[in-house]
Amino acid sequence: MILGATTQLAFSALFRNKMRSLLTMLGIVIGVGAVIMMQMMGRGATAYVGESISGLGSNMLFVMPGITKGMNTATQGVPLFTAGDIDSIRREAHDVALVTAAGGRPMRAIHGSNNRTTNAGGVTPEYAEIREWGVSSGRFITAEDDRQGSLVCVVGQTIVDDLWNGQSPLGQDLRLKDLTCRVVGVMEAKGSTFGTDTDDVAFLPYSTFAHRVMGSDRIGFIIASAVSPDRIDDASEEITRVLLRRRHILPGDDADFTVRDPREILSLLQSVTGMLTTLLAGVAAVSLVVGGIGIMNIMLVSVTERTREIGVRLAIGARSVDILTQFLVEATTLSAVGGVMGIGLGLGGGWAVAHGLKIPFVVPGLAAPIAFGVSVLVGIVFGVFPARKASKLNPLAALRFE
Amino acid sequence: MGSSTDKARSPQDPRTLTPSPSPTRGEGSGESFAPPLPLRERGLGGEGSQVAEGSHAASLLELHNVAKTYGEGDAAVRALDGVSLAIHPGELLAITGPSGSGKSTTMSILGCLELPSEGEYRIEGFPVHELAPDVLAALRNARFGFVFQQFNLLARTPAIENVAMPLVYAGVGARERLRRAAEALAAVGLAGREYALTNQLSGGQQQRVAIARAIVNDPEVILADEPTGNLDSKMGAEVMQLITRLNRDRGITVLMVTHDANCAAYAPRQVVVKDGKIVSDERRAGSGAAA
Repeated sequence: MILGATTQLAFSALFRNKMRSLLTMLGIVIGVGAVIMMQMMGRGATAYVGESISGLGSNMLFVMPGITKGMNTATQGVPLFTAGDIDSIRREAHDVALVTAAGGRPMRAIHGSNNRTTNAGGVTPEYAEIREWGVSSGRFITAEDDRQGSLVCVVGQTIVDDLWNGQSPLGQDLRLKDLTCRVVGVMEAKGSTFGTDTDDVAFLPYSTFAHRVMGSDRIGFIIASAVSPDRIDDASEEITRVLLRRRHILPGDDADFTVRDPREILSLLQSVTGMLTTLLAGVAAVSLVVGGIGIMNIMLVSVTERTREIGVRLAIGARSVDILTQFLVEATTLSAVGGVMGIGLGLGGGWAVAHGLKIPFVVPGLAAPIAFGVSVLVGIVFGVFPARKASKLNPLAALRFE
Repeated sequence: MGSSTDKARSPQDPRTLTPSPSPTRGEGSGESFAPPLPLRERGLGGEGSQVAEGSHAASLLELHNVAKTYGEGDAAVRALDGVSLAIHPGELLAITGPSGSGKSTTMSILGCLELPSEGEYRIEGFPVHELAPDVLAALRNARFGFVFQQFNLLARTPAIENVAMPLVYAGVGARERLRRAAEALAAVGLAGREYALTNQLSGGQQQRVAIARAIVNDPEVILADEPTGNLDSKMGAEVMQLITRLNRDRGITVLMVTHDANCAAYAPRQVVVKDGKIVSDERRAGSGAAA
């Protein structure tokens, strides 16, 4: 009963100083809000990376020229691949299901009076299979196109939206720099990955791309798929073995090409976002501590300011534990209410950010109750000192305090 | 008049004889609160005489050779030096004296706000001077009401909340607190102002709220420290009349510290303290007069 009455006292004391209480809570509000928001953004980013992984195709490998040291790839003076490399891989690597040459470069795409810079890519029919990416209308590049070096292209949704204002481009001409080709298909819309618009693309037959754009038979990079997802590592090893031999790399020397499983990169990215989440939440937690110190500060001021009140309470029969409880409840109420407001702020902010960055909105399940618990704890921890100070006052000295 | 007021507080007043339950402090305070000291159980007067000793049989509060020293060593100040004083139930007593004389210290010791350094303080013959702080708190809550010069009300708070404050620490339930607080406010003539904020009240009204707070727990003793010190003479007179009336009608023992002669004139018994000693203790017949 005393605790109930004390809680009531604490509330009315806080209500008497609304502005001050609000400002005191602000530290906790911001702290909890930041923790929640960071959690949500981190989880949103992780979920986003996960979605991107599943959008890549289930068992794809990239082979790029260049010496990889750590995260850097040096391409200077490294020969590109040849058609013979691809043939050898197709023949010798049994865990590889499909293999294809691919190349790409940014080019100006023009239709009528509209134009934009897009990624022009040279691909073979296998590309669509490996990426598990089909057309929404028309057809993809065929083997026939590749053999003949036809002037046809398949465009992504962004090109359609931007150059054709969403109208069907099938059968019409698209100019890529000084190369004019007929649009035969539109790729399914995939959205963007890591801020790169996957749909901002125009595919040409590989041979057309090699001869008319690059002016060389050399192959920019190789894309392959494993026969099944669990054979990706074997496929990667086989490709490496074939290319080492064909490129005359002696045992013990560094390979001048790199076989990459993009999912590895993504899972690395995922662990990075996870780490970043923890880190940011940690930084945010520091602000929670700062908020706690703010509460302690104000409670100390409050104790000094209300010394006479404490004196009166002690005189009329409050025990020191009653005073301790009152101030502790006040501090805890401040931090708990601040915590609730912070959770609201964090959810709102997290939603806004997720909306703005177009990443998934993930409701932080445990983060909210934990943040609330922590803010209550902060109130108790930082409230104890001022409350003890108040409860240790001598009634007479407190009454005479000026 | 002194002895007749003693009687006024005796058998006719059932309140003091009915053994009311000891002021338990609600469930939350179960710790060792088991003092042998009677907070209310023991009656006054005749029954009390069995406990009390010697010639001060009917004393309610009794200081015996009390000294109080503040500080230590060379800095020590002897605020009280061998004060003996017996106060009987129902008395209205003014302690006067120049500032620094020790009158406030006397009052604090009588109000159990501090303990004597030497000597004995007994309430109804029971020694108080060695009780633990929490027991003293309970004792103050149950038997004393305090009125201060500065009113000491909670700022910007409804009068009724201020008045109900002692009941919180007596473990009284919320509804009962409000009922009794409203009653006490009515008794000091502030019915209808229950929810006025303290800063909306005049000085005299604030002091009356403070008096309501002092009587809400039905105390036997009111300790008033310069109750009119912050009031103009008209409001001061009103407050003094109220205090006198509480003393007369309810038989509450009133001790006040004052250096205001007008204020002291209301008291039939005047104790003058000087340099830590009682230099005079006079009873004037037919007092309460100035009213």
